[in-house]
Amino acid sequence: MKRESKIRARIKGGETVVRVLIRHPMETGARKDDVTGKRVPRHFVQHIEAERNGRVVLSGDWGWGMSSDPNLGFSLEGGKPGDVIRVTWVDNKGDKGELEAVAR
Amino acid sequence: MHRRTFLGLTVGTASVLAGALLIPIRAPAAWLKAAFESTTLDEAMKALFGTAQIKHSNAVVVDAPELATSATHVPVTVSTSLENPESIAIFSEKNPNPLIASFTLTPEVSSGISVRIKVGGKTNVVGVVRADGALYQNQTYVRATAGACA
Repeated sequence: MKRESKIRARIKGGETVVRVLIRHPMETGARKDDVTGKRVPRHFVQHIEAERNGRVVLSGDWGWGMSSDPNLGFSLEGGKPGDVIRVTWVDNKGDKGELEAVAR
Repeated sequence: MHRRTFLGLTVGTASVLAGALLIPIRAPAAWLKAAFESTTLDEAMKALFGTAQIKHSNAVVVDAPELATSATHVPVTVSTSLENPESIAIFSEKNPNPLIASFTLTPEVSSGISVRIKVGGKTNVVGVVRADGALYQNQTYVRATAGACA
Protein backbone atom coordinates (compact mmCIF):
# COMPACT_ATOMS: atom_id res chain seq x y z
CA MET A 1 0.00 0.00 0.00
CA LYS A 2 1.40 3.35 -1.03
CA ARG A 3 1.86 6.10 1.51
CA GLU A 4 -0.62 8.90 1.13
CA SER A 5 -0.28 12.04 -0.91
CA LYS A 6 -0.80 15.30 0.94
CA ILE A 7 -2.16 18.78 0.34
CA ARG A 8 -2.28 21.82 2.58
CA ALA A 9 -3.70 25.32 2.03
CA ARG A 10 -3.11 28.13 4.53
CA ILE A 11 -4.19 31.76 4.44
CA LYS A 12 -1.13 33.83 5.28
CA GLY A 13 -0.35 37.51 4.71
CA GLY A 14 -3.14 38.04 2.20
CA GLU A 15 -2.23 34.95 0.18
CA THR A 16 -3.26 31.33 0.04
CA VAL A 17 -0.14 29.23 0.40
CA VAL A 18 -0.54 25.76 -1.11
CA ARG A 19 1.75 22.78 -0.66
CA VAL A 20 1.18 19.50 -2.47
CA LEU A 21 3.04 16.20 -2.17
CA ILE A 22 2.19 13.39 -4.57
CA ARG A 23 3.29 9.84 -3.89
CA HIS A 24 4.59 8.68 -7.25
CA PRO A 25 7.73 6.78 -8.37
CA MET A 26 8.50 9.23 -11.24
CA GLU A 27 10.56 6.60 -13.07
CA THR A 28 12.85 8.09 -15.73
CA GLY A 29 12.99 4.92 -17.79
CA ALA A 30 16.78 4.75 -17.31
CA ARG A 31 16.88 3.08 -13.89
CA LYS A 32 17.56 -0.64 -13.66
CA ASP A 33 15.82 -2.78 -11.09
CA ASP A 34 18.30 -3.85 -8.37
CA VAL A 35 17.05 -7.43 -8.37
CA THR A 36 16.14 -8.24 -11.96
CA GLY A 37 18.64 -5.92 -13.68
CA LYS A 38 15.90 -4.94 -16.10
CA ARG A 39 15.11 -1.37 -16.99
CA VAL A 40 12.14 0.03 -15.09
CA PRO A 41 9.75 1.56 -17.65
CA ARG A 42 9.25 5.32 -17.68
CA HIS A 43 6.37 6.21 -15.37
CA PHE A 44 5.73 9.81 -14.43
CA VAL A 45 3.06 12.38 -13.63
CA GLN A 46 2.44 14.15 -16.90
CA HIS A 47 -0.13 16.81 -16.17
CA ILE A 48 -1.34 18.55 -13.04
CA GLU A 49 -4.04 21.13 -12.43
CA ALA A 50 -4.94 23.20 -9.39
CA GLU A 51 -8.36 24.73 -8.82
CA ARG A 52 -9.69 27.21 -6.29
CA ASN A 53 -13.42 26.89 -5.65
CA GLY A 54 -13.85 25.05 -8.94
CA ARG A 55 -11.87 27.43 -11.14
CA VAL A 56 -8.50 26.37 -12.61
CA VAL A 57 -5.75 28.66 -11.28
CA LEU A 58 -2.61 26.79 -12.31
CA SER A 59 -1.72 23.91 -14.61
CA GLY A 60 1.53 22.19 -15.39
CA ASP A 61 3.10 19.67 -17.76
CA TRP A 62 5.78 17.58 -16.11
CA GLY A 63 8.54 15.30 -17.33
CA TRP A 64 10.51 12.56 -15.58
CA GLY A 65 13.04 15.12 -14.30
CA MET A 66 10.69 15.90 -11.42
CA SER A 67 11.72 14.10 -8.23
CA SER A 68 10.10 10.91 -7.03
CA ASP A 69 7.21 11.76 -4.69
CA PRO A 70 7.12 15.16 -6.39
CA ASN A 71 6.05 18.28 -4.57
CA LEU A 72 4.52 21.51 -5.78
CA GLY A 73 4.35 24.76 -3.86
CA PHE A 74 2.61 27.93 -5.00
CA SER A 75 0.67 30.87 -3.61
CA LEU A 76 -2.57 32.42 -4.76
CA GLU A 77 -3.61 36.05 -4.39
CA GLY A 78 -6.11 36.59 -1.57
CA GLY A 79 -8.36 33.80 -0.41
CA LYS A 80 -10.36 33.09 2.73
CA PRO A 81 -10.77 30.22 5.15
CA GLY A 82 -13.12 27.68 3.62
CA ASP A 83 -11.86 28.07 0.05
CA VAL A 84 -11.55 24.66 -1.58
CA ILE A 85 -8.22 23.96 -3.25
CA ARG A 86 -8.29 20.90 -5.47
CA VAL A 87 -5.37 19.36 -7.32
CA THR A 88 -5.76 16.67 -9.97
CA TRP A 89 -3.04 14.83 -11.85
CA VAL A 90 -2.69 12.19 -14.53
CA ASP A 91 0.39 10.12 -15.35
CA ASN A 92 1.66 8.63 -18.60
CA LYS A 93 -0.11 5.34 -17.89
CA GLY A 94 -3.45 7.10 -17.40
CA ASP A 95 -3.49 6.71 -13.62
CA LYS A 96 -5.09 9.67 -11.89
CA GLY A 97 -5.07 11.30 -8.52
CA GLU A 98 -7.10 13.94 -6.79
CA LEU A 99 -6.30 15.91 -3.63
CA GLU A 100 -8.44 18.45 -1.86
CA ALA A 101 -7.81 20.89 0.96
CA VAL A 102 -10.01 23.44 2.68
CA ALA A 103 -8.01 26.61 3.26
CA ARG A 104 -7.59 27.72 6.85
CA MET B 1 -14.62 18.26 -21.43
CA HIS B 2 -14.14 15.17 -23.58
CA ARG B 3 -15.60 12.40 -21.48
CA ARG B 4 -15.14 9.84 -24.21
CA THR B 5 -11.37 10.11 -23.95
CA PHE B 6 -11.56 8.65 -20.45
CA LEU B 7 -13.17 5.43 -21.59
CA GLY B 8 -9.93 4.24 -23.11
CA LEU B 9 -7.89 4.84 -19.97
CA THR B 10 -7.01 2.19 -17.47
CA VAL B 11 -7.83 3.11 -13.93
CA GLY B 12 -7.00 1.29 -10.74
CA THR B 13 -10.16 1.27 -8.72
CA ALA B 14 -13.84 2.03 -9.04
CA SER B 15 -13.45 5.04 -6.78
CA VAL B 16 -10.70 6.43 -8.97
CA LEU B 17 -12.96 5.92 -12.00
CA ALA B 18 -15.83 7.71 -10.31
CA GLY B 19 -13.53 10.60 -9.52
CA ALA B 20 -12.00 10.61 -12.99
CA LEU B 21 -15.30 11.29 -14.71
CA LEU B 22 -15.63 14.50 -12.75
CA ILE B 23 -12.10 15.75 -13.31
CA PRO B 24 -11.90 18.32 -16.11
CA ILE B 25 -8.35 17.30 -16.85
CA ARG B 26 -6.77 17.42 -20.28
CA ALA B 27 -6.04 14.19 -22.12
CA PRO B 28 -2.32 13.29 -22.09
CA ALA B 29 -2.19 13.65 -25.89
CA ALA B 30 -1.66 17.40 -25.54
CA TRP B 31 1.43 16.92 -23.38
CA LEU B 32 4.56 18.64 -24.76
CA LYS B 33 6.23 15.46 -26.03
CA ALA B 34 8.83 17.00 -28.34
CA ALA B 35 9.98 19.48 -25.70
CA PHE B 36 10.29 16.89 -22.93
CA GLU B 37 12.13 14.42 -25.17
CA SER B 38 14.63 17.02 -26.40
CA THR B 39 18.19 16.16 -25.41
CA THR B 40 19.74 19.64 -25.31
CA LEU B 41 18.66 22.87 -23.65
CA ASP B 42 18.55 24.72 -27.01
CA GLU B 43 16.44 22.04 -28.62
CA ALA B 44 14.06 21.91 -25.64
CA MET B 45 13.65 25.70 -25.64
CA LYS B 46 12.99 25.73 -29.40
CA ALA B 47 10.40 22.97 -29.01
CA LEU B 48 8.68 24.92 -26.27
CA PHE B 49 9.04 28.53 -27.41
CA GLY B 50 9.85 28.36 -31.14
CA THR B 51 12.46 30.84 -32.32
CA ALA B 52 11.26 33.66 -30.06
CA GLN B 53 14.09 35.51 -28.35
CA ILE B 54 14.61 34.82 -24.64
CA LYS B 55 16.15 37.76 -22.81
CA HIS B 56 18.21 37.42 -19.68
CA SER B 57 16.46 39.13 -16.78
CA ASN B 58 17.20 39.56 -13.10
CA ALA B 59 13.45 39.90 -12.64
CA VAL B 60 13.42 36.10 -12.96
CA VAL B 61 14.84 34.45 -9.86
CA VAL B 62 15.90 30.80 -9.79
CA ASP B 63 16.41 29.80 -6.18
CA ALA B 64 18.26 26.50 -5.74
CA PRO B 65 21.04 25.36 -3.41
CA GLU B 66 24.55 25.93 -4.77
CA LEU B 67 25.54 22.59 -3.30
CA ALA B 68 22.76 20.01 -3.35
CA THR B 69 23.07 17.05 -1.02
CA SER B 70 20.68 14.85 -3.00
CA ALA B 71 20.81 15.03 -6.79
CA THR B 72 17.44 13.32 -7.01
CA HIS B 73 15.64 15.86 -4.79
CA VAL B 74 16.96 19.35 -5.47
CA PRO B 75 14.57 22.07 -4.26
CA VAL B 76 14.02 24.75 -6.91
CA THR B 77 11.83 27.85 -6.77
CA VAL B 78 11.32 30.01 -9.84
CA SER B 79 9.74 33.36 -9.12
CA THR B 80 9.41 36.66 -10.90
CA SER B 81 8.66 40.31 -10.27
CA LEU B 82 7.62 40.77 -13.92
CA GLU B 83 4.10 42.06 -14.55
CA ASN B 84 1.53 39.62 -15.93
CA PRO B 85 3.49 36.34 -15.85
CA GLU B 86 1.77 33.76 -18.06
CA SER B 87 4.01 30.73 -17.77
CA ILE B 88 7.06 29.37 -15.95
CA ALA B 89 9.31 26.64 -17.37
CA ILE B 90 12.12 24.90 -15.50
CA PHE B 91 15.13 23.28 -17.19
CA SER B 92 18.23 21.46 -15.93
CA GLU B 93 20.85 22.02 -18.64
CA LYS B 94 22.93 18.85 -18.15
CA ASN B 95 20.08 16.40 -17.73
CA PRO B 96 19.64 13.84 -20.54
CA ASN B 97 16.32 15.61 -21.17
CA PRO B 98 16.64 19.19 -19.90
CA LEU B 99 12.98 20.22 -19.69
CA ILE B 100 11.66 19.39 -16.21
CA ALA B 101 8.29 21.15 -16.06
CA SER B 102 6.24 23.86 -17.70
CA PHE B 103 3.49 25.67 -15.80
CA THR B 104 0.67 27.84 -17.11
CA LEU B 105 -0.28 30.57 -14.67
CA THR B 106 -3.43 32.60 -14.16
CA PRO B 107 -3.39 36.11 -12.64
CA GLU B 108 -4.47 34.49 -9.36
CA VAL B 109 -1.05 32.93 -8.88
CA SER B 110 1.28 35.13 -6.84
CA SER B 111 5.02 34.76 -6.24
CA GLY B 112 6.62 31.64 -7.71
CA ILE B 113 6.50 27.91 -8.20
CA SER B 114 8.43 25.51 -5.96
CA VAL B 115 9.29 21.93 -6.92
CA ARG B 116 11.97 19.32 -6.34
CA ILE B 117 13.89 18.07 -9.36
CA LYS B 118 16.53 15.55 -10.43
CA VAL B 119 19.78 17.02 -11.71
CA GLY B 120 22.69 15.42 -13.53
CA GLY B 121 25.74 16.41 -11.45
CA LYS B 122 26.85 20.02 -11.97
CA THR B 123 24.45 22.03 -14.05
CA ASN B 124 22.69 25.29 -14.65
CA VAL B 125 19.08 25.21 -13.54
CA VAL B 126 17.27 27.60 -15.88
CA GLY B 127 13.93 29.32 -15.35
CA VAL B 128 12.03 30.89 -18.25
CA VAL B 129 9.09 33.19 -17.62
CA ARG B 130 6.67 34.40 -20.27
CA ALA B 131 5.25 37.76 -19.24
CA ASP B 132 3.15 40.09 -21.39
CA GLY B 133 3.97 37.80 -24.31
CA ALA B 134 7.78 38.14 -24.05
CA LEU B 135 10.27 35.57 -22.73
CA TYR B 136 12.80 36.11 -19.94
CA GLN B 137 15.30 33.75 -18.38
CA ASN B 138 17.74 33.46 -15.55
CA GLN B 139 19.75 30.59 -14.10
CA THR B 140 21.52 29.24 -11.04
CA TYR B 141 24.47 26.87 -11.06
CA VAL B 142 23.88 23.78 -8.93
CA ARG B 143 26.47 21.22 -7.89
CA ALA B 144 24.94 17.95 -6.82
CA THR B 145 27.13 15.61 -4.84
CA ALA B 146 25.72 12.40 -6.31
CA GLY B 147 24.56 12.09 -9.91
CA ALA B 148 21.04 11.22 -10.91
CA CYS B 149 20.02 9.71 -14.20
CA ALA B 150 17.11 11.90 -15.10
